[in-house]
Amino acid sequence: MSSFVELRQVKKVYKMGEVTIHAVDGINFEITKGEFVVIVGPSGAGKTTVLNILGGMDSCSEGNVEVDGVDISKFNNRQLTVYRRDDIGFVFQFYNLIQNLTAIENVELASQICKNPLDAKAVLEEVGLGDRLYNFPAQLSGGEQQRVSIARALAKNPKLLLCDEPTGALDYNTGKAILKLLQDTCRKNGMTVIVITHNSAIAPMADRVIKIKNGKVSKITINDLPVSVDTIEW
Amino acid sequence: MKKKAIFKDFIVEIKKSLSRFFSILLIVALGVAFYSGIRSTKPDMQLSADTYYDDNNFMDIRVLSTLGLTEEDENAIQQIEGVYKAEPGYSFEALCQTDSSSLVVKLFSMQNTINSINILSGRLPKTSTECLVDAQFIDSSGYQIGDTITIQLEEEDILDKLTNQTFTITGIGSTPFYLSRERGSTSIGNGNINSFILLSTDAFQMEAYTEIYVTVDNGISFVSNTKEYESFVKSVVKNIESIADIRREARYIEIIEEPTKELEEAKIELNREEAKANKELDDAAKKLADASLEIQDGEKSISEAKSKLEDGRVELELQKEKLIKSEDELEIAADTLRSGETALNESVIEESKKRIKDGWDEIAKAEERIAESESLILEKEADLKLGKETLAENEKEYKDAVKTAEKEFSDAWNKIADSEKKLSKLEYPKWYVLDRNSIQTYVEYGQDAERIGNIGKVFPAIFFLVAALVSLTTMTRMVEEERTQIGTLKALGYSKSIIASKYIMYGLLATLLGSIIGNAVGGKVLPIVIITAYKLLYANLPTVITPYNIYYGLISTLLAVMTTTLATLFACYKELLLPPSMLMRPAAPKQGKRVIFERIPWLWKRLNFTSKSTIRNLLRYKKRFFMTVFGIGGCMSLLLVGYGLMDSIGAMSSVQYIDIWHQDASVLLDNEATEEELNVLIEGLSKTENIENSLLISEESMDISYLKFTENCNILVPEDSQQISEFVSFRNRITKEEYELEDGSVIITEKLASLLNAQVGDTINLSKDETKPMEIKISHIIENYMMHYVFMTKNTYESLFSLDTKYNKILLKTSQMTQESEDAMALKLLELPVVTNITYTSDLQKQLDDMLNSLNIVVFVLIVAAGLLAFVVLYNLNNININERQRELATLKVLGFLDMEVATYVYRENVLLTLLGSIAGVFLGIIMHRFVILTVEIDMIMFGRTINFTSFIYSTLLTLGFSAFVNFVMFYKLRKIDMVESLKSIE
Repeated sequence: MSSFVELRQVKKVYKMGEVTIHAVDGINFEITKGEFVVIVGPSGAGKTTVLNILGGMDSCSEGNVEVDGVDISKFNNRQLTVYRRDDIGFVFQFYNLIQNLTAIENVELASQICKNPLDAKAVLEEVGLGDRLYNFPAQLSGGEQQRVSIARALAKNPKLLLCDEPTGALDYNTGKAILKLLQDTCRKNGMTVIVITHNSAIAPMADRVIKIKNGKVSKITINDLPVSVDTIEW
Repeated sequence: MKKKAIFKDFIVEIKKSLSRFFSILLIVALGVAFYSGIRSTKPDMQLSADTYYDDNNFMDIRVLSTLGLTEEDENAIQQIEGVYKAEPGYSFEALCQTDSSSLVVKLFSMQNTINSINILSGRLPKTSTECLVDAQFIDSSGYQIGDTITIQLEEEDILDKLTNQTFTITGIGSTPFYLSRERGSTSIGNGNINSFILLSTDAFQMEAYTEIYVTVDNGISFVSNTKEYESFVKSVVKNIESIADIRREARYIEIIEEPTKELEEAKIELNREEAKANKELDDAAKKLADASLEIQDGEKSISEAKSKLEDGRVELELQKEKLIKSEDELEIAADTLRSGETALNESVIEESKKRIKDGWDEIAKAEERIAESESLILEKEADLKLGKETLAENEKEYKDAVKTAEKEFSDAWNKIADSEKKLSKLEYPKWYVLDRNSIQTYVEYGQDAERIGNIGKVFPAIFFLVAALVSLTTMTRMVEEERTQIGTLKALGYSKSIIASKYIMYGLLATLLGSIIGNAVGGKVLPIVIITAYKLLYANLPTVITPYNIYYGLISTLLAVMTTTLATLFACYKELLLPPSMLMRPAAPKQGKRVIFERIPWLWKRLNFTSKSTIRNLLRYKKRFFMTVFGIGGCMSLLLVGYGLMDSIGAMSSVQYIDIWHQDASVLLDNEATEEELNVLIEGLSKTENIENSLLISEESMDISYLKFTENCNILVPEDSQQISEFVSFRNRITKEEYELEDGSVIITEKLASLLNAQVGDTINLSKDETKPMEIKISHIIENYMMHYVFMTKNTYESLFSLDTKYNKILLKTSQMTQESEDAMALKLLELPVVTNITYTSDLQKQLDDMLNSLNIVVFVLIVAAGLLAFVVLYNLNNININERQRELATLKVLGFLDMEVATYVYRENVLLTLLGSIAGVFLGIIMHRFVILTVEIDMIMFGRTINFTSFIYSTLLTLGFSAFVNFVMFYKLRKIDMVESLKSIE
């Protein structure tokens, strides 16, 4: 299977005065389409930088990032925006819903700007919020909010679903349910999902586990038989 | 310092949030600038005038008497407590005939110390044939320094009052009596004093002074128009009034008793004279009688002599006949004798012959005598004739003499009777002790200063309101941001007051700095701007003085501090009351709420999500909503006030001279013009090139009163009450309904009606001079912007005042004319003896337009203030919105929103609020404009009440422009938002 996402010698250097910080120092990995990928690593290892670069929120200082055959590393701001808009679905740790919009409106907010959106209502039903369509975020629990966030990402029908610590602000069971949703989405819709977490316990559920340490990939594991979230305990 | 850490945090906080700090500072500066600026204008105006008064040592009190004043009066007043200096002077009104017109001038005597003249050019008069004139005189007459003017009175001889009649202009100046162009009214000429003329005291020769000017002790230390000044002067006025009775008595005695005594003496003298003259005449009559008697005697003796002569002649004839008979007898006798021839006989004959001869001789002698007598008689008769003629002459002379004497004496008696009548008519003198409040411009100026003070009480309120809202929203946001910090400090054991003090200090510092800037700039600039604008009306005010006004500075600072501190306390008290544990947790986000519009599905469905969010946001953050709406509303209303002022004052020129008054020129006529002269003139005008139409009118000043109000107005009586509609549109300002002038009622102008508080159908009183007021009904009230007019038909006028209408003005309509053709026509018309002046409407319009131009500065200041207001409010709103929604906006960016789309998401709120604010501003602006107009307007003028449509457009465009500018500035701030923000946890 050809790689859907490929990072080659990606480096990101921040200059803080006279100090240069190598947040990411030559990362290489590839991801196949439809895979459920978990990127793990301790705080400060450079996971988020990788996510930012992959999500088109930041560009790398060196190296190439190819997504679906397109090198996004040389994109300008505008191209990056279009890339985010059309190709990327993003799930945030703190959901980042617009407080003033109802669940369905939050989803539609994203879908209204992209090329091939899915029906917002259907997506929300899919994530199990069919009866909370017209609730405001403040009226939803954390798990429900994260489902809205996922629905918002999915409704854009992206090439890549990026999740930044999606369970970070959730309790154990809710977190599990969300991971299940993500895994199901990957399996059912063939969506490529990348989850970033510091919790290595969930690694067994992934098709591919990328461990990052000190700005470098320390280990890539490919699970031929990923397990269901339900069977994982941590 | 004990709480060093807290202090450091405070300094860092300001550095970190400079834009927030400056928004409080700026709005406070604006509020304080307007408050202290406008409020200071009142004392500054008073001070500017007071300086002029003090510099010229202007009188505080003026004493007038109906019988004049003397040096004794002056001395008596000088002794009074509170009087610093009393100085007598002369003044009266006279006419000055110039090339083009007859101007009414007020003559003043040059004073030694009081009422100095502000010399603009040239010098003061040095001799009794020199004069200094009002600058306005130069404008209206065209004379220059060095020219000679002639002054006269209407009926009396000017030389009774002045030593000479012609004066050379040596200088041009102004007097504190007149701050504005208004010089007051009078009973002579056209009733309006045009200008003043200053003569040296030597030029006056009057029996008594007309007035005594008084300055009060320490007058300089007071500021005119203030309560302190007025009450002090009033006390001195009372003191002067207390001696009035004694002085009046003295003057009365002087002016009544002495002349009465003199009159008595004159009577006696006259009687004596009369007696003497009568006696002389009697003598003459007797002589004449004697003479005529003599003549009669002479005639008698002549006729006697004649008859004697006749008798003599007859006798002589008889003698002759006798003698001839005797001769014949003698012849016969001789013949007989000869025949008898005797010697004796011969001798007898001889003897007879001799006798006869003697007889003849005698006869010849007698004839001679008779001839002599005849010539004597003829002589006598000639004499007599001469005598008779002389007598007749003498008799005529005598009769003439009698006549003259009779006339002379009756004249003398009449004179005495007149004087007696005059004396008996002389009322006991009245004293008028008048302070400066009797001077029109002093009062008007004082009122204007007062009005500005009133505006200052209301106008800045909007700035303070917005300042309060800005502080409230800013501090609320600040407290929200530092919620955790507050919790931490609380947990560390800091007291509520210390924690709150940081925010209060923050607000206080911004407020104090803002107040200083506001006071420094506004307290100085605004008074200058306003007074400069007022100098349109008070052109003679030489200096504008605008010292910093500590009192208003402090008041405004205090107000600002109170406003922001209260807002700060209000913003942070909720957080301060929470326990630290609660504060350490992030605040629950404000719940999204359904808004009213969602209940209108067809509308709601059409909105996209950013619009929906915008609308919900608007209704969610009420403080920001009101801040922005009031801020933008304030901006809009300031602009409307600015442009509206231009419109209102512009209305006077365009509406007054185009829509209401249609005449292109008005010709002032000589009061003495006869009907024939007028007919000739009208005939001539109709044939003059360029003149299309003309109408004779009578214009006359009268007092009009209704219930307790009295005003002065001009009565206009057109010759033809139909034709007047071609020159004046009688229309309602609002409905534009047109009216006609009818017999039996009057049409009055709007401002007059509102000053009198009279309505259509009310009966007003008109009084001409001292005659009994005449009642007449108001039939209509019409739009008019300058002066007060009462229109009535000729019939109404004549039946009301039982007088013939005396036309003194002609309204002209002309074809389009150039400046040159206007000048040429004026020159031509002024050559006619009945024309005294001609005024072109275009000139009046030009004057008004000039006035308008100097209002630009006011409009400019208002635009700047409006812009700042809009900027502060929108900048603050954006700042808060962007800070607060950084995560939201970053999320949108991550979701792939383009920069423009993100900006629109924020801007939509600004735009909506700007629009809402503008709508609110329209209403606020209309109210404020009305308030300003009504407050600023002077009695003689009505400013337009409406704001033009174009002004609404300009104001809206400017407001939107300001908003667009702020949004433009904010765009860069939005671009800088880092998407990484979206990944951060909620603080």
